[in-house]
Amino acid sequence: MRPIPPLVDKRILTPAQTALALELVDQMDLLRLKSIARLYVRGLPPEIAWDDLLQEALTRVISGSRRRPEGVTTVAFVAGILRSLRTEYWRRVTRESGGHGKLRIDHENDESLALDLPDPAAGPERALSARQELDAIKQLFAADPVALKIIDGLGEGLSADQIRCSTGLSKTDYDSARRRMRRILLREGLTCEPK
Amino acid sequence: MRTKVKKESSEPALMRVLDAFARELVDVSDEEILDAAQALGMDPRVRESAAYAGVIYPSRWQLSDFFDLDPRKALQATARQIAGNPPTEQQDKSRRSKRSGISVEKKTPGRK
Repeated sequence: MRPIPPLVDKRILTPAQTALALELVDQMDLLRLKSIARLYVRGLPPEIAWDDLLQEALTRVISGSRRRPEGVTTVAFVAGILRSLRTEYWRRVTRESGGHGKLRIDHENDESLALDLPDPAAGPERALSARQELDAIKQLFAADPVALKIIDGLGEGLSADQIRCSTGLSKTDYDSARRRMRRILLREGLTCEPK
Repeated sequence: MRTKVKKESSEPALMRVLDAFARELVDVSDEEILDAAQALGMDPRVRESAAYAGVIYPSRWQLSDFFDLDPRKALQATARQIAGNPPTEQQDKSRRSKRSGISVEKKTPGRK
């Protein structure tokens, strides 16, 4: 009979536990950050998990590689790191793959002076993934036509006032729609599903 | 002359939506979090709540979270044992005699 492996007796704290112990965040902040991490992982490949993204962001705060500017709350600060981790991931992928589209500027005689400029626009695969994620987000609010209008407006980069003007919503209707959206986002964010 | 309209990629639109939602969640109140958690049957006031899966404790438990499964340790222990106590000549002989004993028994088919 194979012997049972010894039980793990050493306890390793996760960055979130450390941040909690150091009182950088409280439990509710962690839940806010969980919801935001689950949001920012949308459109990333499946091997990138939201919890890895969150723990990495908290590690950067704890290690001091990112300094929180004065007047910015920890949650807003970590949310910014989560966003930049996402951007960093795509930048790395684009660099490793050599860019999906390159503009080559040749020098007539000297090959060493030739320059490859990667196209900063999203490639077709990434664009398709983003399209699917946008559809998945809209699916969350399928029963709420006002929310769908607001999402369209947000996607176009409109401000709250501009969305209200274009959709003809009153301030009260707009605010209550945003409240409904927050509730759905939180439910989606707090769930235990891997992604 | 026709004017070509280039449709914008979905990626910037997705980022704008995600940024707007993230801003919304940054400022969400504790009460709203508790309400949403309650709707999911969670109680975030308890540290062991499912709401903290992937945050305070892993969302996907693995065997290595409970057992010390590092194979390097087992190999290092064996290597240490070999380095510290190399098999003596007596042990070598006894091993050989055991093997030869088995082989002798096999050679005599009449014995029980």
